[in-house]
Amino acid sequence: MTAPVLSVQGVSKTYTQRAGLFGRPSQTYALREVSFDLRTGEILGLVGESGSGKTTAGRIAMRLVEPSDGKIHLAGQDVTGLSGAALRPMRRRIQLIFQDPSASLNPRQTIRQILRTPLRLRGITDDAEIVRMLAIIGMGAEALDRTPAMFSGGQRQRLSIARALLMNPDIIVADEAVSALDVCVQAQVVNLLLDLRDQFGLSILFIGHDLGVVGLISDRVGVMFRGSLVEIAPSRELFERPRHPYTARLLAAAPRQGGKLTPHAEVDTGRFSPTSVEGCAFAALCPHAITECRTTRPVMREIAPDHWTACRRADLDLRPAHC
Amino acid sequence: MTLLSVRDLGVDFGGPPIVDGVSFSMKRGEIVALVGESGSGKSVASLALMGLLGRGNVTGSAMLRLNDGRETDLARISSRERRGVLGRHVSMIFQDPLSSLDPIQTIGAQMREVLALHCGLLGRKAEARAVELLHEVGIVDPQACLKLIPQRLSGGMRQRVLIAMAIAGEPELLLADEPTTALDVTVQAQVLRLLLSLRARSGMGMIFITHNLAVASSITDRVIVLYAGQVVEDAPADAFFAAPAMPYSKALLGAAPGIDSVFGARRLPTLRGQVPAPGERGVGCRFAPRCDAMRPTPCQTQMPDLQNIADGENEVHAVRCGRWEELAR
Ligand SMILES: Nc1ncnc2c1ncn2[C@@H]1O[C@H](COP(=O)(O)OP(=O)(O)OP(=O)(O)O)[C@@H](O)[C@H]1O
Ligand SMILES: Nc1ncnc2c1ncn2[C@@H]1O[C@H](COP(=O)(O)OP(=O)(O)OP(=O)(O)O)[C@@H](O)[C@H]1O
Ligand code: SF4
Ligand code: SF4
Ligand SMILES: [Mg+2]
Ligand SMILES: [Mg+2]
Repeated sequence: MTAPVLSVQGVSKTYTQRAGLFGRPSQTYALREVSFDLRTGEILGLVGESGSGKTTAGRIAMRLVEPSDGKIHLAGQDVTGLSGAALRPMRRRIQLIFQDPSASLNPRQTIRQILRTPLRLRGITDDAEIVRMLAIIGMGAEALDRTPAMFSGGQRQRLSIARALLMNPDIIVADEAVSALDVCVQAQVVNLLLDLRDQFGLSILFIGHDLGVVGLISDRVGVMFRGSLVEIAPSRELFERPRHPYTARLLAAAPRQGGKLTPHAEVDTGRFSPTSVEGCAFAALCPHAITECRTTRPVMREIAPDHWTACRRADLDLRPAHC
Repeated sequence: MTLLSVRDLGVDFGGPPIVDGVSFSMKRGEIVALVGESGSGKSVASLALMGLLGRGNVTGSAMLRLNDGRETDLARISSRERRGVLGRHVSMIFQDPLSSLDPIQTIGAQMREVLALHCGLLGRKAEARAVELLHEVGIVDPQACLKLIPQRLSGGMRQRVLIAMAIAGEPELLLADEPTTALDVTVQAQVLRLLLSLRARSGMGMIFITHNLAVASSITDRVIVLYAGQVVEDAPADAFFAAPAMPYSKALLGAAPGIDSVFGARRLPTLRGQVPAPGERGVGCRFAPRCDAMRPTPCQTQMPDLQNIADGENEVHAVRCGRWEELAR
């Protein structure tokens, strides 16, 4: 097997927080011993709790944030220690698409100017490649002399994808890149990313909250909870046969067309219990917790081919009701 | 009892109308979803009916009837009157969570200001209420959160802080523009249930703007679809999800991948073309260029009226399509 394009190995990230104005500073984990591979030509989805470290994981993979511990390999090469000039060539190989395209496109520049910047960095001066790229994202050359304000949100998102692609990256990190788009435009962008993967073998780390979208676009999906990766498996397998109770809970909570919620009488207090450092991060919320869950931290293990879970209970049947 | 009655609301910025003859009304405690593609006018319409549109010409009215019997036309409220109403009786969660928070003040300072202004709470009382509110929106460690500046919070945490601030004054009307886009589905469900409990407890009515129809489905009583500035369907939620009448509504429902049906599909169905720019609308149905059910007549020759197709006497299921009856067969 070839080396994965990106390999995140045992990465942790801590931030210092103070409890109270004069309190002792304490360490909180934004990420805790997270490992995953992004395979060549793969779309890997990342879902999970808000604040669980998805963005941090993406930014660490891009070396925009320094890991506190662990290693990052790019196409087999250890890039963890690289800095300054040595980092620059790797930066180009991995590009980020932001959630908000308006914030990332300079409103005073024309599309021509915006799209020339990445080419200049690669030492290319003619516009042929720009026009070719516009065709890929479904636009004509007439777009070149317009400014970002003259495009719709979805068109702007496609333009920011074009800019990222002109860097000729191997990897795209799409952090909630379609969350702010309406369903029609979202469908266009999702289809575009799938086409790009099929045509150019691009590898994509796709972070999102809409499980329908993530499930459709991804080959495999990883699930995060409070800084840990708790499950990772081929997309269909994960949705149809989740092996971690948090994944099951997430799937059950997904809104469905025609579905209805009821008001809750009281706040679900379980969710506020502090994360235990020793045991399973999900123990306080887990309906299946046993004594060991609170005392020893479960490790990831392969419960079925290519299906990894950090839940110690292999006996659970967590299949969604309708399957 | 009617909470808000919007009549013939129109907005233009000197050119053709961006919001065009929008009318609907909502009862006290009712939750209405406003859906439609990007650029259909959801944000402009809602800012206008809150009297918050900075510039632009607003026509029509948005009568609000408060619990205490007071009536105000929100679309033309004076700025002095607005200060008395906004935040306390009516509040709003804006579409962009980043620009709605002050980047240099801590969350605690910003929440204390809101609590002093709209609830008259100060000192320890304000502190305790802030913690309670953050708790309710599912922030794991509220005390720590209060001490941070927005930049140190994840996207979903910021969005929840804004929701907490908007509901602090227990408003009678809440206008929420895409309030849960950055939340994971469990937190999203929790926040939506919290909003439902607020409605049950205090009779809060809500206009919920979203493009996520599954989210709209989970909490709304009624769905209003906007297209190119017009209302094209206004239906009870059950009827809307069971049998949408307007071809555009059907297309919207089809474009979102449901979690139960994602496998097997390799691509998402898309809708060709885009919402016509205000200057490029024809005389007929504004959806005609993209509609699979289009027939040159009547679709391209005559603008369909918004007609009520509900069976019941007092029900409203309005649709703007000249062929709805044929298509329903
Ligand atoms: N600069 C920082 N200082 C302190 N804490 C931080 C900082 N950046 C991130 N964090 C914390 O790290 C955790 C993970 O944040 P991250 O943005 O990676 O979450 P996320 O999974 O992307 O969440 P969301 O789905 O809400 O975007 C959060 O608890 C956040 O508060
Ligand atoms: N200040 C303004 N001046 C001129 N045109 C404007 C102004 N604000 C908005 N528009 C135009 O009004 C139309 C409707 O915009 P609006 O922001 O209401 O859309 P929306 O339905 O909220 O879309 P989204 O889902 O992307 O938020 C768009 O075509 C937009 O370009
Ligand atoms: S290890 Fe224990 S607490 Fe953790 S998810 Fe599995 S059963 Fe639940
Ligand atoms: S009036 Fe005609 S074009 Fe418009 S939605 Fe109905 S069928 Fe389609
Ligand atoms: Mg994030
Ligand atoms: Mg809007």
